[in-house]
Amino acid sequence: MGQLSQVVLDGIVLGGFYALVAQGLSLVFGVMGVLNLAHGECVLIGAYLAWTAQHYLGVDPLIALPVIMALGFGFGWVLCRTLVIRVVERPPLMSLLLTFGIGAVAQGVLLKLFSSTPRVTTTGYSADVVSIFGLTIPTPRAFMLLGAVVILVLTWALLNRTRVGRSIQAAAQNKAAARVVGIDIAAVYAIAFGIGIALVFAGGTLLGSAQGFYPFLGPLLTMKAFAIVVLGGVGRMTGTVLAAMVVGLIETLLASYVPSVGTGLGIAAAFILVVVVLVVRPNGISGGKQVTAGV
Amino acid sequence: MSSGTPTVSTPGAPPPQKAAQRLSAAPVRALAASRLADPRLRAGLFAAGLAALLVTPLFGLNNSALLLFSTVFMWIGLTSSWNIISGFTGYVDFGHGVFFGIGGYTAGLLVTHLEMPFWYTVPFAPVFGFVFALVVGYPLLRLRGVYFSIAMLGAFMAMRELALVFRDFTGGSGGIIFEAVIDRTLFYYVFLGVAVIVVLGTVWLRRSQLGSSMLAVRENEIGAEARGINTTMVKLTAFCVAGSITALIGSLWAYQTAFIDPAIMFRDVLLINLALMVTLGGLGTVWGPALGATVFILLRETLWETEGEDFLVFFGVALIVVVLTLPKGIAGSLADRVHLARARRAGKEESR
Amino acid sequence: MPISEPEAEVRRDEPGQRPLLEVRGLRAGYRGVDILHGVDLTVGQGEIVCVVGPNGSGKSTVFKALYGLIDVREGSVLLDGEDITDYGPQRLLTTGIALVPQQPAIFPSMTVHENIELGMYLERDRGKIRGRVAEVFDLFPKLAARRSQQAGTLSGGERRALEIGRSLMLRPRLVLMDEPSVGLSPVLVREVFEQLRELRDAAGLTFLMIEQNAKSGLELSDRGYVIERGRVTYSGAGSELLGDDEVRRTFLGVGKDD
Ligand SMILES: Nc1ncnc2c1ncn2[C@@H]1O[C@H](COP(=O)(O)OP(=O)(O)OP(=O)(O)O)[C@@H](O)[C@H]1O
Ligand SMILES: [Mg+2]
Repeated sequence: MGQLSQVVLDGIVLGGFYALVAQGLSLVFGVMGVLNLAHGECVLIGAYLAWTAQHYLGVDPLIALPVIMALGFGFGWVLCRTLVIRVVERPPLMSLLLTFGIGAVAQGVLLKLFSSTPRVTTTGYSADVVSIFGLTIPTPRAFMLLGAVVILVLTWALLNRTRVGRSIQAAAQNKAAARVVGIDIAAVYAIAFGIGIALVFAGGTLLGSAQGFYPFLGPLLTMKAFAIVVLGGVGRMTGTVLAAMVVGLIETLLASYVPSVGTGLGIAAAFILVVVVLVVRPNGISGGKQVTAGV
Repeated sequence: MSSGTPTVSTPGAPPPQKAAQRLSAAPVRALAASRLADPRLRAGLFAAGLAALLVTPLFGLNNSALLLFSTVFMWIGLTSSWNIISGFTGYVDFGHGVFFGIGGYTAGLLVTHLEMPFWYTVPFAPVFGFVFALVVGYPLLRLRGVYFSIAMLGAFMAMRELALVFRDFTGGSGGIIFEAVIDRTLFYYVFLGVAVIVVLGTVWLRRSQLGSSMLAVRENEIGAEARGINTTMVKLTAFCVAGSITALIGSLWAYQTAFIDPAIMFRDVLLINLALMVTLGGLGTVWGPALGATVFILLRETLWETEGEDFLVFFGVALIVVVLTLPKGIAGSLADRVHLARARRAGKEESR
Repeated sequence: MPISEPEAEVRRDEPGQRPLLEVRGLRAGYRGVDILHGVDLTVGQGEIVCVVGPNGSGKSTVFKALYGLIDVREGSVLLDGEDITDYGPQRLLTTGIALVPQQPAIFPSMTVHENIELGMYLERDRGKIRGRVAEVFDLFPKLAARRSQQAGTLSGGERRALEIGRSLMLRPRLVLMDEPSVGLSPVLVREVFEQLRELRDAAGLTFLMIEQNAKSGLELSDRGYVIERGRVTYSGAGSELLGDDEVRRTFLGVGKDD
């Protein structure tokens, strides 16, 4: 029993990170209809930024976090204005190929700059643990959960309580109507993409001090984020968070109870879950936009 | 004029001299392209090219040239089969490499566990590819375009994980070693045969009822369904055919390489290569995939030795540039020219 | 016969009424093709003007070009003398033109109230927005009753009312309406049209609308235009167009029915 609750806690911590990453994907996908295949690579760029800040400048990742998020917003904004905007209203294949290409470039550049050796952002508290109710979490993981929760709450507030958020939601629901009421769609796209990348840069920053990362991790993260978005239903923030928790829990449960195969089966488990959910509930566990062809 | 009657003005016909202007401006290149559209000429070119390729090895090509050719043929087979699901039905399969891996592992596992001679295993690869396509395709092809694409990417990564994790069965990351066959000429002809069959099959498919149904699914799935096309059947057929061909190629490639492991049979680069070649050549066209594969492999072989970081950056950039500047690919843009030229010729006839 | 003549005629008919909207030689289209080959239109202050024509003749394209959703390739658009040819939706809204498009234009997961509020997206003063929302709800009491219902669950007629109500939020001088009656039953069509007339009479609004249902559209309107293959082919007072045999036969399908 004691062990199970520990595993559940670990799963929730992991789920918090996944929620952050998946929310970024979901936002961009929901608003622009662009599935960003470079998403995982963007998480890694965030992680490497934090690692660089710590390694060369001695700045703690938590202090660098706001700056890295701002960089993420800028990066996403520029990426959208220069490249992604050209494929938004074209067949989905175009945006898949484009972001796939961006991902390949990012992976190549990360490999060149940082090699394929796994890195961890080590801080003064890397080896510390926090205990609650007799359970322990490594301090960096506690920060990961805390950071994810804070950022997600702020994101929720931004999307639901501000004028910018209102315009993003309007564009997601009906682009033609949004144009008609005077919303600048291109600007909304750039902002949404910027926010999405800021979220994953934050995710990467938090992940980087909690566990090792390397350039080839990108597609894996993209896949998991996608699985979560589908599970949770596109454009449903609560659904995304819930699904992220489910995926995090499955992963830690597998890893601790079926250790021989469990650690290597993250994607396989998530994938099977996605297939099952899609067959049973085509709109994800919490409803949301329909994902099937409708025939 | 009294306000009692509404005014009438007839919509004027376009001034005739404008059409004449357009005619004289028809570019020579478009006319050349339109000549290539003549089916007899194309069949002739194809036969001549094929004959040349059949006799080429007799003139003592060295091994690396043979390997280069068979690589081109292999990719023609892969791109053309990928094109059937991704180009014709519009369900872009971003995890198509899974079939390549399944083919390789079918051969590898039958050889190691049942001690079958390799050539006996060859028919099993497409069969397993077909079955996997059926089992996975049935639920996943219900998904809308983008979702299908990335769900297949998931299937691909999941199978790689399985191949790694069940190491007692698959050899895990240690892989499987075959008895090596170094007969490059043999593989030249094997892959040439596969490429020819797939390309001719595509030509046939494009003209068949089934092919038209696939295009109908791509253009408007709900409309196709309404017109009585069994879209599920059409999509599954395309997917299973593409999957089994790719599995066959995977098994042949595994044998040629004489070694398989999850990292090479299920490699990410396969996806980027497929996507780039077909986009370059023209997704959904008949000849585009073959064209793209040829151009791409020849370019790659002359420019790059390995598929390392520089390769990733270069081809990522290439993909971005192709998507932004040549979204219809070489064949697609050529076909547009042909249509334009035809329209112009038709206009000329009409104006006489 | 030059089309500008009857326009001048109309203005002479009603002296003192200057045109609010003047469209001259409008040429526009999509990727490579021209759909409109020089369209001329005028709408006088306080008028209801109706555009009719067969499917695909370019009626909606006129609106898209006016509203800056597609580029104007030639010609000019003046609103009260101001050249608005190249204005985008934002500038047009602040200049006083609103559009109710042909396609559904509600935000389905937002409430009716939130939808209405978004009609004043360009206004940042929350107090002002609140006041206008109240005004619109006064005009459309049926909407007011459903203010916290999700817009996606509204009936077809309620949606149209919502779109029209929302388009009034910025107090436009001119409302462009693309087929306000689409998908509505004859009874509801009459209801919507009566509402438009009331709005015109009460608030001095000017309407330029497109109607598939040419008969009721022209009956309601002061004047009408017929657009065919990207050109204006008939124009005149609504009742005259309705009375014209050729127009009736060709565009209203009346000859067949009665
Ligand atoms: N986005 C577009 N791209 C290309 N062609 C278009 C586009 N929108 C409309 N068209 C074409 O322009 C022509 C005019 O369309 P438009 O929507 O203006 O017709 P309409 O008169 O409003 O017809 P309806 O009464 O059916 O609404 C049609 O032939 C249509 O196919
Ligand atoms: Mg229309």
